[in-house]
Amino acid sequence: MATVSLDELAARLQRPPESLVEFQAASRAQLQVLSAATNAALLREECELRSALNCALGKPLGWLLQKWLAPQ
Amino acid sequence: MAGAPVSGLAARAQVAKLARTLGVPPASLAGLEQIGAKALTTYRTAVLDAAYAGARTLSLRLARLIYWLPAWLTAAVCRRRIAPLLAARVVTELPARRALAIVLRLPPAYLADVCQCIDPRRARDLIRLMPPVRVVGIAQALITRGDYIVASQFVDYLGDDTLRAVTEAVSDEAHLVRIAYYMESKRRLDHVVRILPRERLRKAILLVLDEERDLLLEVMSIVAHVSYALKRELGDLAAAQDQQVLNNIVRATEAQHLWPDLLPVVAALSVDSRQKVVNLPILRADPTILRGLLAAADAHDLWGTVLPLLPLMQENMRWKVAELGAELSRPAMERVAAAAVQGEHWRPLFDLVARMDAPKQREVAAIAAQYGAVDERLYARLAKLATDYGFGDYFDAVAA
Repeated sequence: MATVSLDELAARLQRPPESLVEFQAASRAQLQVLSAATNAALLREECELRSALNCALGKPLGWLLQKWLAPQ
Repeated sequence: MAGAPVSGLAARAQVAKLARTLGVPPASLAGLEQIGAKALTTYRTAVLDAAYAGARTLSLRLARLIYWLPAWLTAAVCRRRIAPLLAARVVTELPARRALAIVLRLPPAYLADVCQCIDPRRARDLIRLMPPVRVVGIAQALITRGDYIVASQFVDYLGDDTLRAVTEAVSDEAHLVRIAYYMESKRRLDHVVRILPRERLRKAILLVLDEERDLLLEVMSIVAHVSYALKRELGDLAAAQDQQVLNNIVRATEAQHLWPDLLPVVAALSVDSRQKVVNLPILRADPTILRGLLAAADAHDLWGTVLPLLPLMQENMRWKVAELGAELSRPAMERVAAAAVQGEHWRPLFDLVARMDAPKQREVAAIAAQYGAVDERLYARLAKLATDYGFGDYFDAVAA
């Protein structure tokens, strides 16, 4: 099982590492679960948003609009 | 190690909220309560912020596009084609009045779906503008689904008129108790509790009697987090119940490690109620409970709360506390003494120490001598007090 550092977790959340200092009390396994759940939640939300856009506008138009709306 | 009191109930609620945000069962985050409610809140809001930041450009530009469409048309499109998650993102990017014009054209069930995806911090102006009747409809839809966490997140931002309308519309106090349990701001909780008519508040607190509904922790959380005067009023109400109910509360407190929540409530009770609680036979009958209480007092810096309770205890209870207190380590005894210095609780402490064995009395004399090194008058006073309690010889021995 790969280990997760608090720095990585903070970077994923775009927060300074010191904002998660209390999580030093968490076990490695707890951090692992937290990190996996956080990554999954962020990814899921991104996918659901894109899917919602496709669903709202139809897939081709949704895709084009995504390109226009979020060119980055 | 001593530290600031940490609310286990608040942390427990925060773990449930974080689990919901992450879309995992709360059991998978078991143990994270030890991190503390504040840090868990910080983490959850960081996740929400990261999720928003991830698609901010998209939702911002879509909001700009929608801004130019008539509200009725946007609402019609929303109902047919826009998923609640997308609507939640876009609505927070619109000016509040513009968003309101759209929201007022959407049915409560759809809005409840949107509420499940929205970050209320980003929609506070819109929430405040919402007519009470619309909020009531959404609240009822959320309650029907059992989504108390989502409902609670909006309470912080609702005006008093809207809050009153919601509480009047929700006839079952159990729903209100469940929503209150997850509320973020405890100051706000105090305000909400005060808005409730007294009779309904009594009914809410007496839900502790209803074993089928299993709302003990939720009710305890309300009593633990309201201000001092309300704590006393609500705590007295709970303490007035029969011994079986109080035993259940004490057992749950020990089993769930909730002494840091309950001890300040006990301290806030009227003298009669305090006397009743601290002399509950279960505290004597089950040493693990009293041991847990003392350990929590030490771990959470609550000796200043526990020591004033000792004089209210009957003789047999004091002997039991002394028996278990004698098991405390020297550093723990030093922390007890520090609390006695700060709150002038020497008399109850010495009354307890007088019931302990000679080595422990000697240890307390040695600790007092440390204070004597900087304050001779205090040491002389403590030596006299110890003499009154029958272990002054150890003070003389230390001084010699």
